[in-house]
Amino acid sequence: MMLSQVVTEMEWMVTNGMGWWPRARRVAVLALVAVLALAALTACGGSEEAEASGLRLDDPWARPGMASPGQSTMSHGETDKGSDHGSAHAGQSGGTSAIFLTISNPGKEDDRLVAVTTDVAEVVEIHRSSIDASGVMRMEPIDGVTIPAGGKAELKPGAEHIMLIGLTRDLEVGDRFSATLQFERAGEMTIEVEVREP
Amino acid sequence: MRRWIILTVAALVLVGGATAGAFAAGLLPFGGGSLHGSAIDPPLPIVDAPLTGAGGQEVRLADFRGKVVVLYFGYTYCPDVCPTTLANVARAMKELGKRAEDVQVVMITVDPDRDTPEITQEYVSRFDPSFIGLGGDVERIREVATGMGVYFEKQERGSAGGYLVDHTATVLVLDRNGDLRLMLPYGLTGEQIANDLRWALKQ
Repeated sequence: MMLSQVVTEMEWMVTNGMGWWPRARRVAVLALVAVLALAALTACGGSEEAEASGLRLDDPWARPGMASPGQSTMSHGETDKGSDHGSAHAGQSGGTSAIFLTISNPGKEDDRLVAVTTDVAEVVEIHRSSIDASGVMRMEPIDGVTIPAGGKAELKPGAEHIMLIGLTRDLEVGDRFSATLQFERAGEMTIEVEVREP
Repeated sequence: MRRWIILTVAALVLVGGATAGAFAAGLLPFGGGSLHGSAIDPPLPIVDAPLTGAGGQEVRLADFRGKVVVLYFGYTYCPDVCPTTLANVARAMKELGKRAEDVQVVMITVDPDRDTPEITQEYVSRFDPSFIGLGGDVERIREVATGMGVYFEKQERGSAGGYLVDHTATVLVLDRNGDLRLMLPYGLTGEQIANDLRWALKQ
């Protein structure tokens, strides 16, 4: 009923030299569909956190690690009970791992990653590894990582990374855990980190 | 006549350029200059002080003679450079397939206070069950390391995890006679390491 009505109307338009009308409408509808599809794509493809703060956090991953390295072998004997292993520092009771990711800052002002928390480690620090000309690797804790305005900071092996000290559970390839990054300007942003081999 | 000379020269230049290009691209292995690491020639004898294996037994690097030994000085607390290197060495071993049987990967800890031989062994096993982890007395470890130009030093830098250890991140390769034959800088891929190990296996 309705359809035949539309068809009749269109026939009337065509026969009366008004053929441009439905075509214009068709073009408008197509354009609208395209715009909607594009908007949907952008919403899905972009970073989860992008809208909230302006920072973009891409591809967060961590290395596998053990909560208690060597524990299985040490438990066989009593000999290690009296030694000072694992008592002085948080990091010695559990293994270590590191989180890597790329942080992009499309904004007009520098931001700075200053702290990270996660429940898979007793202590989290921001560290920098570097290799000098003679091949010596050094690692040191740093205050934070600057994400320059209009630029990005790549936290990657052999450079800055988020160091997890004293793992509270084993991190196996394929595991996921969450970590909260604290930025000077953007505030807190929580990410999901995937455990994988580099 | 002159035309022939020009043509011949042009052909030679073309062939030469193509060959050089192939070497540069690593397509022609071991033709000279295709190693990613640095060859030590003549091979350098090492200082073979006694170390300790995961079972508490004494181990010397000479025990592995007959195989090419890939040697790395690292520590299990190191979450960045050491695992990157060990993961790439593990990849190289996979790449070598059957020939990996003639290669033994060994990590010697530079942090024996925290890394017992057992912890070191468990750590390297996670990269490849065939890897061997060694610990022992810090002075013996230092003798072996210094003999190959490897440096390591504890550093207090205010990390909550305790001290850190600066160390040479170079991978060392011993030939089948147990002499130092090759040094691989940090940052090589598994494929590049495998390429150089194929060369070492042929020596």
